[in-house]
Amino acid sequence: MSNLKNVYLCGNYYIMETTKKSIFKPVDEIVRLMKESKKQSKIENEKRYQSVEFQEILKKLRAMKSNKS
Amino acid sequence: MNYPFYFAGGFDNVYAFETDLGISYEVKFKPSDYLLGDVKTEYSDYLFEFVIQLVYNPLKRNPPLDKLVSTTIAAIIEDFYFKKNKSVCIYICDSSDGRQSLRKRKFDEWFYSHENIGVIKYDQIITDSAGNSYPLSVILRKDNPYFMEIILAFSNITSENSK
Repeated sequence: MSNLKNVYLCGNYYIMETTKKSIFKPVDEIVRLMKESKKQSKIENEKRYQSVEFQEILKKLRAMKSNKS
Repeated sequence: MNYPFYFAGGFDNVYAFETDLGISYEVKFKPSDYLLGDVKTEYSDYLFEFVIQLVYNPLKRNPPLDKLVSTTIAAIIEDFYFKKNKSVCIYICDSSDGRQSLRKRKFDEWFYSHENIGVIKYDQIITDSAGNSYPLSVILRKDNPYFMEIILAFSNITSENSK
């Protein structure tokens, strides 16, 4: 196989790394998008605890916990 | 044994749980087909970014080690892959404070102590054009019908960059 670059062992599988073009975006773009996603998650997170939706979830979780014990 | 968790669903497939100390976490599986280039594949709809978020910590200091947190996250992953068995989750450690390697080590310790949940993790270190390295993991079920294609595609992210 002319495209073969490397072979790895992953669990019970052998993984072949080839020089074939990736279907993913270039690394710089992936890093930028992932960082943006994390930043967005942090912004959402700051207001999350006070939100009505999250307080409702907490009520449900606490009810589940008291039913369990 | 784990904390009870609640599946709130939504676009980001949100799960939530609260520890005995009142610390709240959310675990999200955010659709991430935006990471793909022009080429769309059969598994585009199954790509998710795996996110663990501390929503509330009443202690005002780092939470103490709580083994039930990791068993709860494992149970959540198991539940998600049961609901969506073709899912492929991408986990990239937060690098905003330069502590991505420490997070990766913690994540590895956690993952390898819960290997019985039927998923496999493939690790990759990607390096951007500025020379910064980021640990990236892909998690998928061993019986995922696209297993080989996905692992090959991830391997090729690095190959592309090293050209």
